[in-house]
Amino acid sequence: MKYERIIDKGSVWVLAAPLTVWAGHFLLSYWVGAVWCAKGWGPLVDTRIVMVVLTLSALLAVSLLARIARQRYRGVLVVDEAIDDPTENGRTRFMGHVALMLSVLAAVAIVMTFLPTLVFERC
Amino acid sequence: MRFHAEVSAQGGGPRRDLGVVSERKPWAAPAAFRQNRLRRIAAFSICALLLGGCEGAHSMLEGAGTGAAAVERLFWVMLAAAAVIWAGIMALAFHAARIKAQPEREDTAEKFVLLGGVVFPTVTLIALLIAGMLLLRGMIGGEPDLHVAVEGEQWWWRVDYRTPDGDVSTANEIRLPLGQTVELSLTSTDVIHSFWAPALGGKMDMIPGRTTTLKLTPVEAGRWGGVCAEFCGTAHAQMRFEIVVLPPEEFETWLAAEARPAAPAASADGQQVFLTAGCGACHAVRGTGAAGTAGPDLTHLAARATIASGILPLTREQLRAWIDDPDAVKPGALMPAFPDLAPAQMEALLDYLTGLT
Ligand code: HEC
Ligand SMILES: [Cu+2]
Repeated sequence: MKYERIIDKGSVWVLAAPLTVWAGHFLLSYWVGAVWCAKGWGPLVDTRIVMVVLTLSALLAVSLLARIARQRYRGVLVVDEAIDDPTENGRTRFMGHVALMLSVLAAVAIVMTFLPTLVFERC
Repeated sequence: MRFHAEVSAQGGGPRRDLGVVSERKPWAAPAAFRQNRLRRIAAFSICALLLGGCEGAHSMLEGAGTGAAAVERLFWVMLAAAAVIWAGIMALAFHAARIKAQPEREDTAEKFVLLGGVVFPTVTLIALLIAGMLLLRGMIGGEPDLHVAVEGEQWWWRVDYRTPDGDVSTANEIRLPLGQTVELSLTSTDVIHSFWAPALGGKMDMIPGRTTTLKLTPVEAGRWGGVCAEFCGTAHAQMRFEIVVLPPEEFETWLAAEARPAAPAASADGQQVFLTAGCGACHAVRGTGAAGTAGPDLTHLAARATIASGILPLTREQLRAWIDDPDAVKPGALMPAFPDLAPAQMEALLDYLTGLT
C-alpha cells in the first residue's frame, strides 16, 4: 500500500476522524435548522426528528471510530497512560489511545450541540 | 440588587494611598506595613468592583424587568458556584503543594483527576447550558399585551405604536405600561444595530430586512436607559434611548395624547420657519403638512425628555445648539446644520418646537 502510515497501519486518520464527525454534525445541524426554518418544513418533518437522526448517526460514526481506536490501543483503559516505547507496537497503541479519548470528547460535544433542539421548539 | 459604594466615584481615596505606598521600596517594608498594603490593595479592588457601574438606569442588576431579573438570578448563581469551585481548587492546590508524594495512592489520584478534571466540568457545563437555555426559553414568554415597533436608524430609534385612534410615531423614548408584557418588533433601515435596555431585559440585534422580536415585562416604574449594543458607525456611542415605565392609566393617557395631531402652533412664525427652512422634508409634524420620514417625528417633541437619541436634555438651549450644528453636538449626525437662520427666526422656531407638547 502506498500511504500505509496514513491510511492503514498505525494510521493517523483515526485521530482526525472523531472531531471531523463532530464538525460535520455541527455544520449540518445549523444548515438543517436554517433550511427548515426558512422553508417552513416544520409541519412536514419535525426539525427535531431530523436532528435526532443526525445526532444518532454522528454518535454511531464516532462509536465505530472508537471501536477501531480501542482495537489499536488494546489493554485496560488508563486515562493518562504514558505510552512512550519507541516501537511500532507502542506507536499503534499510542495512536489508539489518543483516538479513543478524542472519540469520547467528540461524543460529548455532539450531545452538547444537540441539546438546544430539545429545549427550543421554534425557529 | 443594589450596591452602595462607600468611597467617591473616582475611587480617589484608596488610589492616593496606594501611590504613597508604592514610593517605598517593597523589600524595605516592615511586615506590618506590607500587610497593611495588601489590605489596601484588597480594599481598593473590592471598591472598584462595587463601583463598577452596578447601579443606575443602565444596570443589569436593577431587576426592573422580569427578563433582567432572571438573568440576574443566573448571574448570582453562577458567580457563587464559580467562587466555591475556585476556592476549592485553590485549597486543593495549596494542599497538593504541601503534602509529600505517596506513590502507593497513585490509583486514587488518577480517579480523582478523572472525576474532578473531566467528569465534573463536563456535567457542570452541560447543566449550565441547559439552565441557560431554559432561562432563554422562559424569556421568550407568553402572549404580549402590547406591540411596539422599533427601528434602528443611524443614529436614532424610530418608535411606532398602533392604537385604535391611529398610529403613533415617536423617537428615542419608549413608554411602557408597568406590569404588562410588550413585544417589540425590531428592525433596521441601514446597518445592524442592537437593542439593549439592561435594566429591563435581554439584548436583541436589529437586522436590515428582517424583524426580530424581544419581549419585555417591566416590573418597576421609572426611567431606564438603553443603548445600541452593536457598533453601527460614527455616532454609535451616542445612540441611546430611554424606556419610561408608567402605571397603565398614565400610559393610556399619554398614548391617547400622542395619537392626537400637533397642538396649535405656539408661534405661527415659528411654524412658518419650520416649513420654509425645509425641516418638513425630513420631519413629520402631524396636522401641519410636514410629513418627512428621514428624521424623528416631531409632532409631540416637547413631551419627550431628551433629543438626539437620549444624549441631550430637551431644553431651549440644547435645541438651539442642535439646530445650529447637529454635527458639533453629535459627530456624524445625519441632520444638516442650519447656521443661517436669523436670530428672530431661530427664536420663533424654538418657540414653536418647545410648544409641540
Ligand atoms: C436631511 C434631513 C433633515 C432635515 C432637513 C432636518 N432634520 Fe432634524 N433630524 C434629522 C435626523 C436624521 C435626526 C436624528 C439625528 C440623530 O439623533 O442622530 C434629526 C433630529 C432632529 C431633532 C431631535 C429629535 C429627537 O427627538 O431626538 C430635532 C428637534 C430636529 N431634528 C429639528 C429639526 C429642525 C428644526 C429642522 C429644520 C430647521 C430639521 N430638524 C431639519 C434629519 C433632518
Ligand atoms: Cu450602534
